[in-house]
Amino acid sequence: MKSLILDFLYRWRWLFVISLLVSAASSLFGLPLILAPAAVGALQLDAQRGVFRAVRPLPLTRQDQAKAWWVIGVPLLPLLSVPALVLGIMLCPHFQPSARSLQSARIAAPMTETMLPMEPRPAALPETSVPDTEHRYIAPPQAPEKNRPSLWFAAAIQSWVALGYAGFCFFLMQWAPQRPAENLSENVQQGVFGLLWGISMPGVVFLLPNLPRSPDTIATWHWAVLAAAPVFVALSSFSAAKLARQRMFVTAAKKSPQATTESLALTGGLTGIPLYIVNFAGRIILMVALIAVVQFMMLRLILQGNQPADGLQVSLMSMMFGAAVAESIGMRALRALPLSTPKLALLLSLIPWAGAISSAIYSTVCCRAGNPELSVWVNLAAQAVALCGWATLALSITLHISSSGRLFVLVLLVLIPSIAIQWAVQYTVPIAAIGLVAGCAGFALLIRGLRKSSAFYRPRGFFGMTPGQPTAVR
Amino acid sequence: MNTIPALEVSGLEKHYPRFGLGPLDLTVPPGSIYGLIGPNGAGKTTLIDLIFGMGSPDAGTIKVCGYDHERDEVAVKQRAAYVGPDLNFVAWGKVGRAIRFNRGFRPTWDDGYCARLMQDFGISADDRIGTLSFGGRTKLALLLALAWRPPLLVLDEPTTGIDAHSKKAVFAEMLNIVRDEARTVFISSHQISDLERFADRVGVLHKGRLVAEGTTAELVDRHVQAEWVAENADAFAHIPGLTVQERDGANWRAVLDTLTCPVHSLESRGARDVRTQPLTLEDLFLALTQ
Repeated sequence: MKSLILDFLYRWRWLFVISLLVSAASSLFGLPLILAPAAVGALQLDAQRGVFRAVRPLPLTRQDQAKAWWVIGVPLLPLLSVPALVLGIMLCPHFQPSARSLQSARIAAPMTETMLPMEPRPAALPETSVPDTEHRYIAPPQAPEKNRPSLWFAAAIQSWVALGYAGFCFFLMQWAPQRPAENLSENVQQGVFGLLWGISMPGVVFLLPNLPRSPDTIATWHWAVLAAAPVFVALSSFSAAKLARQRMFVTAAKKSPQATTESLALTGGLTGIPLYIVNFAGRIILMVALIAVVQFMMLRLILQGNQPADGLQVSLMSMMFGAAVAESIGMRALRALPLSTPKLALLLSLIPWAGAISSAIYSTVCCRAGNPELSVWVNLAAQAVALCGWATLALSITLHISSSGRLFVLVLLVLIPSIAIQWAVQYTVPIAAIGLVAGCAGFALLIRGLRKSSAFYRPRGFFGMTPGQPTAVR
Repeated sequence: MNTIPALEVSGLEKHYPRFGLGPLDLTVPPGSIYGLIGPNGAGKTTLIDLIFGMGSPDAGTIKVCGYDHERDEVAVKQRAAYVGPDLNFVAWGKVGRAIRFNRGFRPTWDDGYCARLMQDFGISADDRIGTLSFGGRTKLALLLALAWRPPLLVLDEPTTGIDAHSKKAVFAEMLNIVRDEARTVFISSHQISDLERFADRVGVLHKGRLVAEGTTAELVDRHVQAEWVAENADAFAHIPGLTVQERDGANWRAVLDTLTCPVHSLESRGARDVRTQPLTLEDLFLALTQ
């Protein structure tokens, strides 16, 4: 069991290093464990690549293997993050002015106002006991000591929830498809799993920042989330044995029935490029619409109101799925078609573009994100250009990398424009211009890669979202 | 009669950090079955990838039916079909959808022939591609390549993972293609026995170089296995056409290409008790690629 955990740690060391660094660094912002489900994601990739099957002959009981997968998926990352978290919180006052001021405010117990040499005092500020000096206002007056955010309290709450969240994702993993659906019920099951899995990983980014920072700010839904955490940890530990058993065996391939005359009726309907567009671009648009609807409802229910990051997750997901779907099509089969290289590059780009344009519509029309000085249509055009450009770059770079590290590169590449578009709204047009440059560079890279890169034509597994395709050993 | 080679490779080179292909010269005449055999990592798939633009050569040219593979890439792919073990159609979901997609690119697609192939291979349009076995997916790739009757069919390990019945059907189709329609098949395979039966010409690729080429009968006839006794080792070093298989003291065993290294040339170098025996294509392959 220990060797399985150490092996996983070794193979995914880069992911753990990034997670721990993020934990330490983001302590400053009260988001210490936003990468808590990353280990489950990596575990799912491993399962998809057949690691569970590969370890089956090892001299370990199935229970031990199941325990190892559970430890890896659920408590490992939150536990490893604790030292990083403690370090981050201890170092926090040295790097964050507001936290330093928070400490000085606590030392000066009678003071009812926190001072910092940062912003001018508002004209309407009521008189306080503090003499009028060059100090400026930062926190509301009369703020009770117990309501002040405590980094230790926030970290403890978030670690607890992160553990439960990892448990939830691990519990969910048992329904991950191991082969394409054959009937309606399997289709529905896989659709529900895809939906939950799709929103579960990035969903943590929205859940953790909204957890209480002080005991007095705990709301009813916080209690529900806190109570659900141990339940999911327990459920995940019970599901580990089933998960290990499922993934140890090769899924039986369907025996081909004898072809019937009815099934040979292939004429009519869309063919060629129109079929490609409807099948893949349509799939991405549908996916983005589904994510947008779920997120819209979820945010309204939980957070009750507009959030500045409403469009962020949809942008991220659309670009990630765009790249993932485009690379799942099978580059060898496409390359053998009578299409010129630029035309093939255009065809590949259409998929991320469909996702990017859909998410830009959601962001600007539904969430009203963008520069308020510009019209909705200008914002829409600017965001669409920026997202399409970065999506093309993300696709071409991830196609150049055939290892699973491309997932990390993809996340980084889609984070840049998504964050920039949501928060640097005054720079919408320059961001679009940069996106255009990124898009041109991405398209040129795509053409280059199609012609020269052997990585483009290696078998890929759709980032662990599908069972993949067995390949021959030559 | 068409005399333009179906495939013409001249001075082709492709170098990777740990592998180099070429320089390679190879000509496949129209209306023939050409078998390319070689051990793992010999460069067979690299050569086929280069034909279809999956990578670009460091030097040399490839022509398909007279069209340059880089300058006329669309024309090349309008004439050549590709089947390989890494072809992935899973994203299309069902067999019927993959067929419809491919049919849109092939004006010469024959629906009747496609239907017959589906019956021969036991594939249904409603089959989920993801649930097909590896052999089933290979059959689908073969079907997609055969159904538009391409002038050149390039097959990379087409019989890997398929059963004996399907293998028989595949080779029967290949023979039909060549015999009835004067089309060309270029096939790379490990199954030397299959190629021995079906291929008109065979090329043996080893470490990126073509070490032997010719019709199957020619290759088998002109190579022999020789055993002799000789004390002077230097006399048998680096002789063109001589591939030493084993040496135990003064006893030697080697494969001779009798065109470049006749048996009497061994005797003139001091070999005694020279005995020769014929080789099968498999023996020859093993000797040349050891």
